[in-house]
Order: sequence, then C-alpha cells, then structure tokens
Amino acid sequence: MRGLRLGLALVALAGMGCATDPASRLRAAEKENQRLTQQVQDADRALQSVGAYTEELRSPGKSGRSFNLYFTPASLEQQASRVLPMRMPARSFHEKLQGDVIVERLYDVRFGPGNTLTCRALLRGDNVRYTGSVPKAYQAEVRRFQSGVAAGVVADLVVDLSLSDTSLVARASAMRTKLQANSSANAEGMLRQQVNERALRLPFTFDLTIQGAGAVPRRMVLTANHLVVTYAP
Amino acid sequence: MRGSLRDMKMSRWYGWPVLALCAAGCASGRGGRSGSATERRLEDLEARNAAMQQELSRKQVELNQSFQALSQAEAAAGLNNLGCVGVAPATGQVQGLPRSGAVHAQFVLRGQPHRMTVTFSPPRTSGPWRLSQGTCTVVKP
Repeated sequence: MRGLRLGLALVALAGMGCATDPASRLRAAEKENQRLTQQVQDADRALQSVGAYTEELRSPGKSGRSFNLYFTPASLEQQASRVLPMRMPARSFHEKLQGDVIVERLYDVRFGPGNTLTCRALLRGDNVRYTGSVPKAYQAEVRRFQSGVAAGVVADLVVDLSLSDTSLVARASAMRTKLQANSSANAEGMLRQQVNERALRLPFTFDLTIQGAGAVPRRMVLTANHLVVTYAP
Repeated sequence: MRGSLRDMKMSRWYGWPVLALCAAGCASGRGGRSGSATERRLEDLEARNAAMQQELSRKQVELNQSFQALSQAEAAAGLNNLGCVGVAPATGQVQGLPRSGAVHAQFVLRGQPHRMTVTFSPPRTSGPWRLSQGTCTVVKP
C-alpha cells in the first residue's frame, strides 16, 4: 500500500515537472517580461526624478518655473486621520464573511528607498462572522479568529508610489497581519492573503491636478524626510 | 516490520520506472520541440528577462544610494521637516502655486469622492527658497 502511495506521489511530482511545457512557460515568461518592463520604466523615471531634484537643490530656480509641494510622514498621517475611521463590509476581505471591518487609523508612516513607504493600519472587526460551513473540529478556531478580529488587527503595509500622468498611484500590500488577541500564524497568514488579494487588489489613485492652476505634476520624489511633488506649467 | 520492508522494496520497484518514464516523457517533450518557433521565442524571452532583472537590480541599488544622498542634500539646502509646504525659488516669478483653499488632489475611496485642499500662510524667504506653509485638509463628501 505504501509502495502504491509512493508511486502515486512520484507520478504527481513528475507530472508537475512535465506540466511546464513550452507554451505555458512562454506565457509565464511573457507575463514576467511585462512586469519587468514596467518596473524598469518606473526605475528609469524615478532615477530621472532624483537627478532633476538633486540638480534643483544645488541650483534653485535653474529648473525653470516650477514649484514643489512637500509632505512629511506626519502630515500624511494627519491627512489620513481626516478620512478614517472608515467602515467597509467584511466581504471586501472574504466572500464568506459578514459584518464590517473598520479601518481605525494609519500610523508609523516611514519613507524608504525606491519610492516606497511603509506604514501600519489598525483594523477592527465589528460583528464579523464566517458564514461558510465549518467542520465541528474547527469551529472553536473560527470563534477564536472572530474574537481576535474584533480585538483588532495590525497590518504592516508596504506602499509603492509612482506618478502616472497627473496621478499619484499607490500600490499597497500587506507584509504581515497580526491579531491583537488570539494570535495564530495560520489565521494571520490567511488574513494577509485575503487583504492582498481582495481589499488591496487595486491601487489607490490620487489625481494631483491643482484646480484653477496652470501647473501640472511633473515628478514625484520620496526622500527619508519628504514626499516631494514638483509642478510646472 | 516485514510488511514495511516489502513496501519499501515495492516502492523501489515502482519508483524507478515511474521516474524514468517521466524523465523520458519530459525529455521527449522538450527535445521533440527544441528548435521550434515557440522554443526559440521562449529562450529569447527568458534571456531578455534575465538581462532585465539584472538591469533592474542595478537601478534599484542606484536608487537606494540616491535615497541616502537626497536626504543629506535636502538638509544642506535648508529644507527640513516641511509638512504641507509649497516651496519655490526665491527669485523669479512662479506661476501655478495653488490659491488658498484650492483643491490640489482628489481621490475616490469606497466609491466616494474626496478632495484635498490647502490653505497657505503668507510666504517667507529662507535662503534661496520661498516657503509657503500650508494647512492641508481632506474634504469628505
């Protein structure tokens, strides 16, 4: 019996290896090529922006009729606090959840290299219930998860910023989610996956067009101290 | 004990032919198509991807280094801790700085449009810069 199982496992393993036929490998390589092309373009643009900003710091006014708007991590947190708390249906995180998730606050904003910022989001479940069928053996675990979410979840986020035409595009992903109570690696891992696949699937877009002004955003640079948006006619 | 020994022997007998068959199958799958247009395109694409990955890594290293340098350059230029501040060169006419109260950003959150506005204090000159301290607010619908 064990021999048969081993045989089947070997067939399955070998089958996985064989499944990478040229056509599917080509599709994967094309997808990877698109991703890399975009990332190289973003990196090029970021390097150009850094070069232009460095030059401007050395020689103010030489870059022509431009001006900058500066934001610190603290000022971004303050602006986020005017939007939060924000209530969203729990099914935004998982189709079989009912109740609400409240995004309480955004904090610990830090600017990093490569136009990337990190921050933390505090979430809290309000009457969150799993509506799928749960085997009896796992019901206690689900109850622990529900009360854990009600106690609060801290999500560690990494946000990639880029400028696309006149919009600042923020692509966020959760690196870790931590239940404030009833911590469980399994539940937290699943929660992180759902946050990334559903709630953060689409990027946040900020249209930076200034109303009634003749200048448009030309570049964006993130330093350790500031988010700098440069406008020019 | 004897049973498990027998199972091990069986697994050896089952395992090797299965592996050999699959290896042969994979080899024939690749070998049979080597030189095909798909295979050549795949090799070309994988080589380009590897080169692009290296290029990207180089640029990321460059960006990381410039990140440190920029912070020092800002400090040297006297631009520190500017939260919601409009900055323009002190010399020359600058057009386009938002009027106080003007919307400078808009975004949609959960289907609701939000607007960000800024109200500026009178500008002050600091070295070669003209700084206009602003108060940024978010207007909910």
